[in-house]
Amino acid sequence: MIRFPETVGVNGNGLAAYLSAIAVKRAFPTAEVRIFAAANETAAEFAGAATPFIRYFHRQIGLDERVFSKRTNAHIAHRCVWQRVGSDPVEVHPLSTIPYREGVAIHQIWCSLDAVRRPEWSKVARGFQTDFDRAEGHGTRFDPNAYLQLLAEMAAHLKIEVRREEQAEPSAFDLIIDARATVSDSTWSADTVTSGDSDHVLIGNGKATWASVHGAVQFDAVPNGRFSASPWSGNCLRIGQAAMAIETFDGQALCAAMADILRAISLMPAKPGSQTEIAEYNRRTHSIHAMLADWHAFKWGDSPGQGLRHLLQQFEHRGRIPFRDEDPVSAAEWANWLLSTGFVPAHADASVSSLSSTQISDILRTV
Amino acid sequence: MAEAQDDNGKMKVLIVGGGTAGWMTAAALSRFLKNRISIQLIESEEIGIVGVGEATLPHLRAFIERLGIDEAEFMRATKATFKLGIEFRDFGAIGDSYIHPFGDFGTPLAGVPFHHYWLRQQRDAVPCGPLEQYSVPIMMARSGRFAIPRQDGDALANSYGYAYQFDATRMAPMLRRYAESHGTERIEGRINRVNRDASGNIAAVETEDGRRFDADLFVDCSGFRSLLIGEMAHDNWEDWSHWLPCDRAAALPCTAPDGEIEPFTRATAMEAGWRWRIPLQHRIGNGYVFSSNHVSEDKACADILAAIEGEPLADPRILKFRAGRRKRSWLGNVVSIGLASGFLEPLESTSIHLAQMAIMRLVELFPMTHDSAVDRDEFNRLVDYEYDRVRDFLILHYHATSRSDSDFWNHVRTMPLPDSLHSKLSLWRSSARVEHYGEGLFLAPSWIAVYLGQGVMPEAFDPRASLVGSDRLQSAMGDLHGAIQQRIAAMPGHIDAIKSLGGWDPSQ
Repeated sequence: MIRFPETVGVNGNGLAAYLSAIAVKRAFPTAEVRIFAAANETAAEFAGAATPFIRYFHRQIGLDERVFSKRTNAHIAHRCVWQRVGSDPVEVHPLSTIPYREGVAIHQIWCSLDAVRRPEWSKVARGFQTDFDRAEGHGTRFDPNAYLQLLAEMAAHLKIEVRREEQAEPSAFDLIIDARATVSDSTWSADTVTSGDSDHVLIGNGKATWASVHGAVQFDAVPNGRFSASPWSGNCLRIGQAAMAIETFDGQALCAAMADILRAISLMPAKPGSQTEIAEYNRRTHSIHAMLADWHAFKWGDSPGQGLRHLLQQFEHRGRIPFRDEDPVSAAEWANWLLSTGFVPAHADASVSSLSSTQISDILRTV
Repeated sequence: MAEAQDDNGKMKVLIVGGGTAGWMTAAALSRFLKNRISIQLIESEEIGIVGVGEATLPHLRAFIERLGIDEAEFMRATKATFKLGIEFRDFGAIGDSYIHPFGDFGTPLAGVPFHHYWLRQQRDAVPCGPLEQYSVPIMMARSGRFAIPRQDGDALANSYGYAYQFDATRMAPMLRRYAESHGTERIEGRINRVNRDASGNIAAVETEDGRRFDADLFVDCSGFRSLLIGEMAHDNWEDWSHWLPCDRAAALPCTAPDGEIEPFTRATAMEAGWRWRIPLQHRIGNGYVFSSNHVSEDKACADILAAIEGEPLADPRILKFRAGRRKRSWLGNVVSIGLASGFLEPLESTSIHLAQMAIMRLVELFPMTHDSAVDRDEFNRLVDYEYDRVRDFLILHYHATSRSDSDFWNHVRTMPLPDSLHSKLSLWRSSARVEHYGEGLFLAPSWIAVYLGQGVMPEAFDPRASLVGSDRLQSAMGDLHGAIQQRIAAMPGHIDAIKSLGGWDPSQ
């Protein structure tokens, strides 16, 4: 017999909880979905940031992008000013794909030049941006409290009941979604804001500040990236910070929660007690979270784990980003951020040898 | 790596073997690394090429395109036809037939893959026809029509890819002309000695006539003989014959019947293996892949001769192989590509693809320094990844059967499976989900085709597929089938499509 979850309890009071509840209700309209909002959690503790993936998610849950933009005062972050204490700031311009010229990746052409002749990488990246890059930037920056309010209204419209109670009792539901936020060392300030189109990140001495047009989050301690090996266990599915705690200042954490709940829906067991779908969810999700933890470690300058060590080794050797199945951070994003923040490969790839010096000059002259 | 730069300071690469893999390697290296390396290729006209890799996968088109070779010219030179998939006959059960298409089944409804809805209709006994009538490439293949996929926003007209069926004996000469025009030096000779240096790397090879050739990097494309990589280490082979027991092929071409050419390859299960049928412009390629533990070579030759449709153009040629791959395809300064690197039977036309992927990995990871351990390890990691994924898919074709009419089929039906395939099958059987990968050779539609084509019916399907109203679903499926029929009716026949492209030259 095919069945789907008829009763779903969601623990949590933040964005991940509401996003999960709405997505499940949209996928299974006859399911009874309840939010148990016991945690004293406010959206403003978290960055109001999302990658371009948020548009896809909104389409899945039926949220009009124009409504979202208007209600949350959403802006596109067209650049990020990134600074480590003691170093000059660098600008990172979004680049979703690495362009090729004459069959050679543009960053390889750039790497083939000696340091004196190289133009600044950020200018090269900006020069080769696509229409998509210019339209979507690093993603959307929005007022997280306004977003939470919008989602609460949507939940009410979908007849998702919100109870001010302690956690839902697992045995009372087919599925429990644990979307509670963990205690954060961050502080939120609406006083510190940036110009409309930029993120500003300052990292050093174990602290970090991320500022966007809507305010700033300051971390008083470097958060340790961590994630669960089995985010779905039995009838309990952990989403958001309950499954993975990372902060990369670019909305990856929020969008990972969105992608996770959609993945869980697509693998919802059709039979009570079936473990194979849950195992597949955990396999994929663990791998994705591990790659996001690499991204977190890179952004914070943490000591790299095995995955990040391999990636950095490959990149530093010849500017290559190794294939990583389902990495939410594209190879182009990795290469762009690495080059923008000062990682220069020891060698350009051999493929550059098919170009003459005149061709290389002509290609880079277009920047 | 030893220093053996040529007079111009370029690194020297020596390719050993001039079959399909050898000349593909030479063509790619000379195209993409021409200013950095000098390339020599040693081959002997006395040694024929295996040349049965006639059916390909869509990825080959990208290779041809990156080399800058015109598609029509390629098709004329190799007598190629288009290929939309592979028809499997008698695999799940005698009398069964299904096509593994290069494309999707239907389109998702409300974010749920189409096959879940089809399974729902099966459960509810709602007439909706076979799954294949919701696949553009299968319906094209069944009707003998073909059109290049359109990129104009029509999702159905772009829901498939295509590959080629070509004369492999003509592929290598064509690529030889290309590689030589891009600077590759061809050397006629047979290797009879391999010299290694103190570090264990290969320093040079010697030919029977006493000439000596040194290089920085050696590429072993010597086929099953593995002249170089076989010298590097003796414990470097991962054997998969317990899962893929076929170890022989009896191959022969025959004349083509008059009329339309089928735009697909056919694989028909036999008593102790399977036989291929690959229709080209000027002839048909045939072969019987079999297990020598279950049928003799003589019997296999007799069986394939009895099975072919046209007049035989040669006697059956026996090829011997063993399923498996090198534990390390790149060892020291030797990179093995093609049959020297590993062998997976051509049930899903993967031979040329695996060589192509290795070649492009080599271009991508061509050693920048004398210490190439970083590149070598990454190359081996990626080659392993490709082989292992293909292996599971091939094993599925044998294992997913109800046949019990021969010792061979009883063996493969009941053999233990690799854990990786076991978990894939469990997931499918539970709720018709396919293990997801972002990239790879065989993605969800391929697995769905084989699972359902060979009768592996899941116990359930995505519960969301139950949420659409019955009338709405039936109407949507009917509309989809109608739209596919409408598009296919407007397509030309296969031969006309080849002629229209300018690729038709069926002369012998």
